[in-house]
Amino acid sequence: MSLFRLINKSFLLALRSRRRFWMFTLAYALLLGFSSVFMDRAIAVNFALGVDTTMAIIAITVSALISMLYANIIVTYRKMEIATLKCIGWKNDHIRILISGEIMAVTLLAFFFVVEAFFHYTAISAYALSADISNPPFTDAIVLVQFWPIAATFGIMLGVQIAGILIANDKILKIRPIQALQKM
Amino acid sequence: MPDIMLKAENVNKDHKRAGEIIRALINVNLEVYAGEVVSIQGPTACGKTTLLNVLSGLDTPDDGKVFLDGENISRASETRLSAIRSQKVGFVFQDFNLIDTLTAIENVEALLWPTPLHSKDIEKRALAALRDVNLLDRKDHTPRQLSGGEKSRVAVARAIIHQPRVLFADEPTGNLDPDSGNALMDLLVKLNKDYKTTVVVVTHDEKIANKYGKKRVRMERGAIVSTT
Repeated sequence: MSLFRLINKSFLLALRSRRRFWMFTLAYALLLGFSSVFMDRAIAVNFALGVDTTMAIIAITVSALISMLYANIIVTYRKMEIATLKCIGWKNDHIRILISGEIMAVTLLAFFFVVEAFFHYTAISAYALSADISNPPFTDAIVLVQFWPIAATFGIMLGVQIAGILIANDKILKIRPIQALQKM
Repeated sequence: MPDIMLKAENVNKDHKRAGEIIRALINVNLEVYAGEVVSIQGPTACGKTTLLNVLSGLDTPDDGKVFLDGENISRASETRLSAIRSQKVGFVFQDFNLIDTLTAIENVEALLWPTPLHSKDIEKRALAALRDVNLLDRKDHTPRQLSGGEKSRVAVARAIIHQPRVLFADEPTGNLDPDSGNALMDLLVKLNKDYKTTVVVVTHDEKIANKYGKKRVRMERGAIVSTT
């Protein structure tokens, strides 16, 4: 019960952070989109070392770095809030769930944006190509990326969030409840 | 004779600042009975907040023992201290420490979010706490939309939602105008009467300490110099 409530509240807190949340969601969406495209192409060449595979690796590495940056920013920004929550009886585990949820919320929303964008791309391409060509649509032309490379990239990106979550955990442990009493 | 709610026995605490050792608490002995309103008063940097931290389990003494509701908390684990804080202790901070992105009722509820209580029960308790502090009509406002006095009442509602045995307030009137400060102290005294909650208030304001403290503890240079 409390686990679901904390996850729910972490999403609420993330959404209400507005500018920070949307900025990072946009960054993740772009990275996820690019990674998916390169992943799709890398799969076609059986991950042979080339531009596509290298770009996919770079995009995933950058997303891991952004995850760490985001985790760092969240914990720094919420330092006083974390100290206050510890002061009123929250355990480290509760705060970990809250912060991890906030980190995951960004990735989840970015995933939905990317899927939505690729659906629209497909729809628009199908419409445009169907209008000019009476033959059945050319799948390769209208489907930029298959769904499963996006899902695979999303899975990898969720995995690289662990780096961010580990950094957040480390910082959370260092915040002492007594800091809530420090005068601002 | 009421039970002893808080007890400090020969408590010593040092702080290290820039290589210098500052004796924050020197051989402090104190007993607070259940249902008392205690003011801890003294000049800046006399050890008031350190004493509050030690009594509430936020900090551990270097030496001596601290008992809260009969339990020795001076060497308790962080997990146990968290449990004690969530069940027996309420805090009102000088800056109130409300979460800006949450509404007043969410700030009050936050204390109970990690508990197994049903969300409806948490909401009921939060509404009751906000009713106690006469702030029901502002429950959906964020801290930025509230005045200093209203923020202080939200902070008190958050501190009492779990019906704590002891309520600690660190300079609660420090950021309020005199009228709001007196209103907040009246509220704390009312809660003490209604729920028999032990209240410990740290203040540098002698008037507040004398007016509201049924027991007045005066500190100077880390030591208790008088208890009346």
